[in-house]
Amino acid sequence: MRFSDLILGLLLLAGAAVLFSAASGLPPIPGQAYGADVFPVLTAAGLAACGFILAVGSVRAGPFPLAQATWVRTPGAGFRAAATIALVLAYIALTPLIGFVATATVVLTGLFLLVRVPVVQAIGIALATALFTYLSFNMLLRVPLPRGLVEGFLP
Amino acid sequence: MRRFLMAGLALAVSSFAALSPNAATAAYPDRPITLIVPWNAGGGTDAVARIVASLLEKDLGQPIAVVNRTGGQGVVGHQAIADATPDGYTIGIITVEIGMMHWQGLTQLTGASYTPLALMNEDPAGVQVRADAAYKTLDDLIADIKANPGKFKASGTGQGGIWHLALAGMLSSLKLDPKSVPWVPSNGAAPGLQDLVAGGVQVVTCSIPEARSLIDAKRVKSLAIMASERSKLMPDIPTLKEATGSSWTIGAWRGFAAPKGLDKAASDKLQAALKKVYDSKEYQDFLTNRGFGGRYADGPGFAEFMAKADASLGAVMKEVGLAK
Amino acid sequence: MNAVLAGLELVLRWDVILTILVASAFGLVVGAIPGLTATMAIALLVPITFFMDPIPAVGAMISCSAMAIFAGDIPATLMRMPGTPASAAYSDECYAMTRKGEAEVALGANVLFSALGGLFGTAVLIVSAPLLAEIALGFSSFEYFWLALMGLACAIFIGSGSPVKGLVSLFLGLFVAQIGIDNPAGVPRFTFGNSNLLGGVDFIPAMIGLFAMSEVIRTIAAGAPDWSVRQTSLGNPLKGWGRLIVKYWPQQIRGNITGTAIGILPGAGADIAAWVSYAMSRKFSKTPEKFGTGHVEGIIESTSANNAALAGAWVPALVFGIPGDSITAIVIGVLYLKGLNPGPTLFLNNPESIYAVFIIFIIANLAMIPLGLAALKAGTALLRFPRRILIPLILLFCIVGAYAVNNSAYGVVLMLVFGILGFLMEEHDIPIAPCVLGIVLGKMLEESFVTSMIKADGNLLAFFERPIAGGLGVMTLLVFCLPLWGALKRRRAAAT
Repeated sequence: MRFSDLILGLLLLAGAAVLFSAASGLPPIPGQAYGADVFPVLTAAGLAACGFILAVGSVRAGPFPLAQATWVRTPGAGFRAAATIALVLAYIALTPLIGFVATATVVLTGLFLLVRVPVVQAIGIALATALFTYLSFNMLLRVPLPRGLVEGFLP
Repeated sequence: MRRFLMAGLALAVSSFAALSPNAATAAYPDRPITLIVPWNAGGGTDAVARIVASLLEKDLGQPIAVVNRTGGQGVVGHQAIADATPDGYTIGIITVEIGMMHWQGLTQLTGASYTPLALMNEDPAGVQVRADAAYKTLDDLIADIKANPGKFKASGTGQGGIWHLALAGMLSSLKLDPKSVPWVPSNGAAPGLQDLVAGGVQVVTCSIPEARSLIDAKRVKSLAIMASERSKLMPDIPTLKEATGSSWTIGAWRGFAAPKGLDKAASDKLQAALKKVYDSKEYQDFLTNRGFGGRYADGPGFAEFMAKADASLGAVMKEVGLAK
Repeated sequence: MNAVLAGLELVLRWDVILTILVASAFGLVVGAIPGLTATMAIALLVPITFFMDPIPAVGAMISCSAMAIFAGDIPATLMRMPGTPASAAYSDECYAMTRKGEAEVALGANVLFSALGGLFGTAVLIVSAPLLAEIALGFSSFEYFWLALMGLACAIFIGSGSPVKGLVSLFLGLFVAQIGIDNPAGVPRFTFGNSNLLGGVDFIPAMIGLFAMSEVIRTIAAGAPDWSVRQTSLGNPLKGWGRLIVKYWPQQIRGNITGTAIGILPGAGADIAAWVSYAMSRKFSKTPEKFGTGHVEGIIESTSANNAALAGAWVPALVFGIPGDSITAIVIGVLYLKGLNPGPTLFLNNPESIYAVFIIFIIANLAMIPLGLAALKAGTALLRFPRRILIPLILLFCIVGAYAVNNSAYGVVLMLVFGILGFLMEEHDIPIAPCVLGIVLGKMLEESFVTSMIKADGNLLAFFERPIAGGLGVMTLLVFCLPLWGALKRRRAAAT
């Protein structure tokens, strides 16, 4: 989804206002002139200025479609983008429950299917990659990936 | 591609087939252990954690993965240790800040949120100034601070950190207003010391091992240490009591702990192993070479030590206005 | 001279050479995996060095870190995923070269100029370490404030397209850097009581999200079609390199000098060196319009700079025991353990060890060329995989890397959030690079400003009162004002 500069500018102005109000409530360093609020307030001011310039420039440039849907280049693109994000969310939710190997296999298989890899091939590569990643991270790189259903059986 | 697939499946099947014996009957530990460090790689805490891990590994016969969970002035890592499953496969190194941050309202965690295993090290704070500063003794410096409140700035750690508290507590014990030396927050002792040499601040109250390289290079001198005994590394530096008569002492300590509720068998095993590590020649050599101070207590001793430290740190933090 | 020979004798032993090679290979692997930094590679070596002699221990750390910083360029080039933060500045440029089928040329340039940059930094370390360390030690927060501000000016030069949108990106990055409690006031900001947010936004998962994850979303949305271009082979590297050296020697020298200088300063390291060099390269280029389209010029300057910075960081570390970056912070600890206590006296009492360190630096950087070429061939072989197989694997790589930074799912959450943000930003023609720069420099800028004001009791003029700070201040103001003045002049010329 693509917004026009006007909407983008207005969004930035709104964001800057929220940031400004959140920042002005921050406590100062006792006895000091410049505390935790200075930089957030400056950032809010900068964002507001940019938002204003974008919005005004967009109005000056004349009439425009409010939202241009330019990014749907191939059929099903929106679905695939959303599904990719959903699969990462699934990874975050599932690893504590069923461990790295099982989750990674499921998520990878899902991704492969999204881009039309044949099912058997997808599952095979997913499982092999998950096992290889788990073992090399745990043994060689000393990064303990989450354990679950499968990992107890691995060395 | 098909051959690749078959190989993958074969690997998967064979790993399922190699069923390990029932986990409950196997002796602890039967798989790798994770050791969480709440501070950055490169700091003193990280160094202690890594040497202890490598020695512990030999004793327990299982690999130990050292993991840095940093940020939030130690809160994130301390929280991660407390939140882990108390199965003995996640332990952590906890530091003096555990007795400070709950007073600042940053977390609910205290020393009582863990199963303490062993206290392994403590380094007292020192009072460092530039080597070319005019003061010969701490009394000279104190007199100057008294005459010119606000003129001197001090650094060595973040706002409200352990060395900030060391300075405030020292000033307060000498009947000076803790605010007469404003604190300049820094990202640890090394940047604070560098700023001391660069002339940005005038006093740094970090520990002696942290200041050691610059003391050796004759850029910085230490006027006193806030401990009851002189340091083994630099015995020429007087204690605060000898220098000023104040009996204020404070130090940064590090110990090992597991999440609360660790079962007794695992706890006993870890405590025994840590005691062995502490007594080992390798660990003692490490302490000597790095200039770190050794201090040991077993699990119950460490719990008692933390409870005491918590109360006294809290009292001082309230007194000097660092508590919430 | 005897000390040099004694140093050579310490190094030229099969066990030392073998250690260097093994550590290099290890650094290559860790550096090439996004999320695993050079610092992490060194930290993993620490327990092993406990049981080593001093010279092999130090040799392992030097060669491992040099190789890891170079290896970060490999995934940056192949998948737009900087393997270490030091590669972030030019990963877009490298990836653009890959899209044009020139992956091997980009990586070849990375190998060669990383090695040359490292050698230059080493030469500076050998010739004038004590003197330069003295200067670096004189930098206080006042000087760092101007340096950070000058770094931010880079955002003006690196962003292509609309300058306003570049600024939006920069301010977003500055805001991200403000989240958490790690600010000079020690006050939790924008954390909503969450203990993970208290720790702030880790730079690495954010970077993996902005660069790599956003590209993965875009590619999968398009159905992961294969690229239409074929990758050209590097051919004889010596020929291609000769041409690059002849054509781009000023860029290389400038990158070397910038990198070494920034590396020597304790408050700034290889990542900042790469950003500054990339911006300078574009600013002074005769063909700035080619930047961002897969042009090797900026890559050469910044890849030289980050490896030069690595050697530079050893200057204050060896002379004063003050770490120049997070890698040397670990190394200093190991030096103490091995009885090689850093300090001016190390140069007097233990010259053969110092020379051994220098020789290892030279060997490690020379070894980078054959090892790097081998890695280049192995890496570009990946590009022959079908994209629909490769892209999901890259996403898994992103997830694991983001997790590994802090061993927590929070890293994965951050990566996802920034992945979506990066995707949306690029949809709206908002460049990503200034945002990353804002995250890198935001903390330094705020810390140096606030702590300076505490020291100076709120007197803003203090930023000009110290000699170096004053000089840097004037330079920074010029950097900001000159483009404005140029624009005014052009406008006036157009009006008459």
